Amino acid sequence: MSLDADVRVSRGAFDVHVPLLVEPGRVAAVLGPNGAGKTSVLHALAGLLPLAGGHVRVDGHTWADDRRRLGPAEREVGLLAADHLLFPHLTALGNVAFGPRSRGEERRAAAARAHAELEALGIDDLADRRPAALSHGQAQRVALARALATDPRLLLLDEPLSALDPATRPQVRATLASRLGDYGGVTVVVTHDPLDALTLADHLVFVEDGRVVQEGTPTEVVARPRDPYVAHVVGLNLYPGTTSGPDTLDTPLGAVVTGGVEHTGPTWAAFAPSAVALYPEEPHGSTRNAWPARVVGVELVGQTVRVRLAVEGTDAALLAEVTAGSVATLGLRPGAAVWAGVKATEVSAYPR
Amino acid sequence: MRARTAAAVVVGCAALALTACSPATSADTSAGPGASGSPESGTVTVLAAASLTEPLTALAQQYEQDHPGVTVRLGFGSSTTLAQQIAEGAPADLYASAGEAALDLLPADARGDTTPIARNTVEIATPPDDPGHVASVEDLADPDLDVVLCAQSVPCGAAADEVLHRAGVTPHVVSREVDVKATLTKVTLGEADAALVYHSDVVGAGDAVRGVEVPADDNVVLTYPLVRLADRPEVTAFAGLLTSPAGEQALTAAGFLAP
Amino acid sequence: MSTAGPASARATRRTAGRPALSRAALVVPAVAAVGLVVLPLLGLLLRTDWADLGRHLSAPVVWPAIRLSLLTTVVTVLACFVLGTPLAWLLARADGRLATWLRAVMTVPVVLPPVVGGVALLMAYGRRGLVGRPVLEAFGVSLPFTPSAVVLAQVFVSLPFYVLAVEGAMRAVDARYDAVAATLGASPLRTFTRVALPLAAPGVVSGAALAWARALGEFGATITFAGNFAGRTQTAPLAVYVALQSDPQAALALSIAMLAVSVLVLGLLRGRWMR
Repeated sequence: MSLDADVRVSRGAFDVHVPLLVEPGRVAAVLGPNGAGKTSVLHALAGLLPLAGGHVRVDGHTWADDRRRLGPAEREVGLLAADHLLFPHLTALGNVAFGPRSRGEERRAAAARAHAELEALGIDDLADRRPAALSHGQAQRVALARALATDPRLLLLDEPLSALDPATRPQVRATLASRLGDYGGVTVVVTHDPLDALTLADHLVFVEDGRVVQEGTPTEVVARPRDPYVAHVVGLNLYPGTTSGPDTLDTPLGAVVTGGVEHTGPTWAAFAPSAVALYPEEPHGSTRNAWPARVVGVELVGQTVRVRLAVEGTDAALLAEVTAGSVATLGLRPGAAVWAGVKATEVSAYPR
Repeated sequence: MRARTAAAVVVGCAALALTACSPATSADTSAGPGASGSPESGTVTVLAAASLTEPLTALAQQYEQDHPGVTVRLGFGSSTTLAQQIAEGAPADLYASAGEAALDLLPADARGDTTPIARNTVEIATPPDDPGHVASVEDLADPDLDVVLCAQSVPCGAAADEVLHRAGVTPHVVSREVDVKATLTKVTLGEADAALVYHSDVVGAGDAVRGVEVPADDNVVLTYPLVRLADRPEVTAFAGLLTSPAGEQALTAAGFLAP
Repeated sequence: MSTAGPASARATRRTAGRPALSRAALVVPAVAAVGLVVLPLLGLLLRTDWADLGRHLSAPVVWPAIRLSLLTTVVTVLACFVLGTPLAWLLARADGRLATWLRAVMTVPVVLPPVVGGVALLMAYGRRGLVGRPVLEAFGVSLPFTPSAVVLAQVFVSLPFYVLAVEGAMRAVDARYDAVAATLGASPLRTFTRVALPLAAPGVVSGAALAWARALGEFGATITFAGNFAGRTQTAPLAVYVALQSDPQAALALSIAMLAVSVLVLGLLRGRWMR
């Protein structure tokens, strides 16, 4: 089963244009900031929104193009939203059996199928409960079972974990990842959480203002972001530049010495926040790149501290990751002046 | 404190069925000029049988023109309902009933000053195109005819029952309406093939209905008594107009018989 | 009081008097409102000849009227449910000019005097009406003066109440449930019967109760359109009105019976469905 879609949707303020090609059994993640048009793409795939152009083909069947448009009930899709949206008047079993019943299954066969779906997620003991008697995580699992109980060719997940509290999120994420591994159809997951995308998806599609800004496997994207938003999501410092010497680029930061450039012309320069070291004065020695900067923000992330910096004399921003100890010794608080240094070998350069 | 008093007054008014608080009650004009002479001002409230609607409206207009300070307020309905309302305390200076049966419902002290002002007979009304082909009382026995009568409890209903009894006819009655005007309306709208109403109603309806007379042997004659419930000059004066030759002329023009 | 000066006394009175006064501003109209409703009911109860109530209830006018009223109002509520619920659902999910117009038109009978409604019904379904005349000519069937006319008059006045109440309840059903049901393969009809209807059930019940109450009290449109004939078109309110002229105690007994039935039904509904 495969998905071949060229989704064009008109959303008033801007048009969304997202092509998607997904192989059977694969999971594609659509990432983007709020309002980028991600959910519109999903609704267009489900048939809840009309296409303004393009097409949706699944396993060679045309669901929508210029001439025809199947309604949501005629497409074989499963939809899971952030809110579980379980029907409150039905039990968990009734909710999961709703799809098979709607598609013409006998009452008994539908119930058996529903039990099997719940069993696959390890929650068959909740079958007789109403949604009001389920925790949020349990309800989201039931909703997943419901979405899968109709054997959809296309499974659509709309921010599936975003409404869960942080404590339950990893468990449900694990359930989801393992269940998707057994699922033979195409999955499209929309999310703004990079962790969801990296743990669930084989293919990432970054959307901004209705356009695809980058796509690729998680490894490719993490290693070589090609867009400030993507870089932000994967947590890299990224600057557009032009080669100006054997190892040197012209960037908004000024001249950046890299570990080596194999080509000429437009180039991306990227380095990790952990590669940035902070000094009270201008550093000397092996640190080839050094900029005076001002601290804009400081936040604790796990065991490390993320420091946002504005580089003096430029519009460029810089993200550094340091230990809690250096915050104290360097006096890192907003407004403080420091020097930021990056070794040339830490800077990777690739064509723009 | 003042707000509370005002609220209490409003509540009191509501509790007294609003009428007691209306600005122009008959009571506050009792200090008019003497009993002799023409009244200058005041309000006369008349409750009358529905069949008197047209002539009484015309007479009241004429009276108000001749006496600019006097207001005549008219209320029409079934004689029975109006008599009950008077017994329950509805303000009325004059009461005109179709037939004398409803007078029994008035309080005993209110029946004294009674003058007949008109008489009426029963007549068959049909739509102008007469879809049921009604030419006589006997024709009403046709079970395919939809016949409408007044309710048994109002004078025109009792009179109609009496007419049908005398003629020995049992019609196919589809509705018993609450007063004679409602009965007539069913015929003018063409919903019924025939109705038993008063002669005056047939005259008043003009071209809207066709009348079929009921022979005197089978017919009933109702007397319309006028009951005077107050003796203020303007009330006496308006009652005088109704019993005067001018009043009689207006009533006979509307299809009533002289008393 | 104390020996404090006038200024301080005024201050004391102001602080003591204001809460009492402002409470009175709320309590007095509230008590008046209760009085306006309760006093007439009390009058009905006090003027009833309780000792002979049984005899009055067996007056010939009473039982046929109650039976007709119960029968016609039940049919009316069923008609409202069958016809009004789909309309309420479509209106709840529609936006646009047509829906706005439909909603406005459906509201008209709420504000229309019932007698005018009766006249309008005659103009449509009467023997010379828009629909009534061709039907009479083609099938020889005429509606006025029949129990069906009573039902039609009741439906005309009570359907808008039902549709407005149910539409409100259905509008409150999250539209995303419709989308989920559709992706699960449910047809619009199945979404309506299995999702919208159960979720809006309390609204449907209170809408039906409203419609039933309105139908039970219907007078003007019924007497104008259906006429008044004992056993066929004389519903309880008509019987009360007519009996008041001839047999006031029977009218009171009938009123008491209607009061009892209404209180019973609304009480049951309130306990079970409408909190």
